[in-house]
Amino acid sequence: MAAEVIGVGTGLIAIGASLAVGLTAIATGMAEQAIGTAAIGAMAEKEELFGKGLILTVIPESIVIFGLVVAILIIGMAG
Amino acid sequence: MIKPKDMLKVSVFGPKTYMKSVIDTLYGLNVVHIEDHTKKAEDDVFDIGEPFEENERYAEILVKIRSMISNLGIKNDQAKENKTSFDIISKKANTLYSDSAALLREKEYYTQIATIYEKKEVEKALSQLNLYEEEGVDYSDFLYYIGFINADNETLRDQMDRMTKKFVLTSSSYRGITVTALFVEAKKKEKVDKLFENHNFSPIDTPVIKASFETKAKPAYRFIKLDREHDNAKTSLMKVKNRIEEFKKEHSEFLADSELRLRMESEKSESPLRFASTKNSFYIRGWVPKVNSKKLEESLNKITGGKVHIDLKKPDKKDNVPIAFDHPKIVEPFEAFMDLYTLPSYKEIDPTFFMFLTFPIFFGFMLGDVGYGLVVLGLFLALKKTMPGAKNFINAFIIASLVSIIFGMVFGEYFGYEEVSPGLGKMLGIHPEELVHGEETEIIYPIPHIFSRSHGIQELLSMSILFGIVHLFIGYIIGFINVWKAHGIKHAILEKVGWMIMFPGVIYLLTDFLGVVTGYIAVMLSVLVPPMPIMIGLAVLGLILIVIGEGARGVVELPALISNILSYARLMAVGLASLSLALVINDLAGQMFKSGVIGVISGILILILGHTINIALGILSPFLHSLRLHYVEFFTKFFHGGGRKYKSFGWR
Repeated sequence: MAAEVIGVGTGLIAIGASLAVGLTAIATGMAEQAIGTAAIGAMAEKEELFGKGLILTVIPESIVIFGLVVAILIIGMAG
Repeated sequence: MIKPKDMLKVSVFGPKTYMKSVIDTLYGLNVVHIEDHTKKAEDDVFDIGEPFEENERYAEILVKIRSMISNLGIKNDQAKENKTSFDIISKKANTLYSDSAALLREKEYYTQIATIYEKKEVEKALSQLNLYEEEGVDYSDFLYYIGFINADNETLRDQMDRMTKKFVLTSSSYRGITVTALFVEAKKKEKVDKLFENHNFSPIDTPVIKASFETKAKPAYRFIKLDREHDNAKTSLMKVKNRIEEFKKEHSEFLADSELRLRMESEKSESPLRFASTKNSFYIRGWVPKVNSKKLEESLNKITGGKVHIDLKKPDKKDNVPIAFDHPKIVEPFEAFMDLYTLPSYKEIDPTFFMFLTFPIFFGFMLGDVGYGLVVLGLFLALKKTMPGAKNFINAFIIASLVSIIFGMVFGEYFGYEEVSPGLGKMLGIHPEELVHGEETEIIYPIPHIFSRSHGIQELLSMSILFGIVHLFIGYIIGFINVWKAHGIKHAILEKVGWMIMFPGVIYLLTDFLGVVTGYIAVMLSVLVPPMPIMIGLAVLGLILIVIGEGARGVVELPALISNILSYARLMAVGLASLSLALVINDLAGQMFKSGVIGVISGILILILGHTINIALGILSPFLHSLRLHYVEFFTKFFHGGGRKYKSFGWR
């Protein structure tokens, strides 16, 4: 198998893409941590809040999705 | 379909003599949502009504019937109203209540005896008895009965007293049942036998006691063979259980039907508590769907001969009208998602129908696998039988999983497999494709599909964004109609049209400028983008409208339009995540299969475990994300909510 040579530029692009996904995933995690705790607390008081709590908890998931979109855009730059 | 049912405000005013027949009619029609009367001030002319006197009698019998239903484990979900007169029901219920209580007591008694023998506690039970030999008494023509009995000491003593004076009775309680020893003159044998039989007397190991007793005039505390007594107790227990079963079979229908009837009666007789009333009159306020109002008026006039005043009015703006959904059967499951969030208010468009259109599409687009779709479908079909309470939710999932199967066929995904092995491929006559990696060429047999998710990520992203643009635009159109109806056309244009004419600019940003949307979808969308000067003009005009309509808050929210649209990228992201996980599981298992028997076994385990986890995630995340796209992105464009549910007075 012929060794494929990957240029430094392509490598940097890959690192950029991974940072975009990874950092946003951490941000999402931090945001969901706080919301999730509060949602569980609210649910302990009033069980009907399960639905709303669940929805509120997944709201920050947008952040990582934006990260993913950016990553795809960056990879698109590599061609 | 996109509006809640039209409601009319109804007031019924009349003399108290007609209250009962009015209540019966309202309950039978089951169309009026009653507003509870609250006494606002001390000098309010109207007081809260009082329940009918019969209520107490209903409640008493109802409690008895319910205790039988729960003690006997009767299912009452198929109950039909028992229409016989209350007196007959109450008489029968009382008899059944004492019968069933006796049966249950007998069952408890034999259960305890069986336990005592099982745990070898007979000696302990007997030692509770204070048996001693009285000096100077001639025991020779005395009979004795030692054992368990299903009656308390007082009753026994009473009944013995009436029979004879010559007896000695000692009793004690062990594990809640009575242990007794009776010495009685021999000539009363027959009578005592009968009495004891009635009380389910269960003797303890008589031969042993006898042997010992006759020589020493004391019961022996050593028992050699207790098995026979144990068996007797067990058979008696079985017999009682059978009798209880028969009792249950015979009377369960009566009990269930009567419970329903009495529940209805008691609801009716308690209902005056919800009305306003004076000494001689009553006043009911409530809501009735417009379609049912005519019938309501006719029935009430007929039953009272026109002696009550009925007033039907259209609701005015300030009224908090209860919401009754008006949907065809297939849309009904999605009402559950409105209950979960908040019901629409009376004047606005009810979004349930739009959820019915888009929720399954989003769910299916994310799950998008024939195999997973079938598993989810099977799972929810099975759940439907076991959980009738969550019927709406489950039906919504069934529709969503059917759409997933269709998307699975479009994407050509079957448990994550997108291609088959060459052998199977040739057998099925699948057209092979050549895949070029650098200098190597691989021949694969892809399962027929319209679009492959794993090979067209950019395209998938473009599609997701397209969904977002269309969905949000629909949201603004609904918002426009809502505002128009509530506040007039001027407000509607200022608040919603401003956002709508921003769309060409947003599309330009997403396609040419950012390059998120590419390929043929970008070409398609570019038709909507006018030449640059017009586009900028529209955007500026839109901005002006938004500033006038919503003020500074609107400007702050401008970027949210783009982020809301980009948020639909989750349709791609969640789907790809599930697909990638499935691919990893399949690859891992595929490699295992190449290495011997243990490999095959662990490969199968990996497949089962992996796909189970992935399906669990595949139900949860598409569900949550699809719901979120509706609640957060779609609803914020038009929905206010805050409605309260219409609950009619009546049965079901």
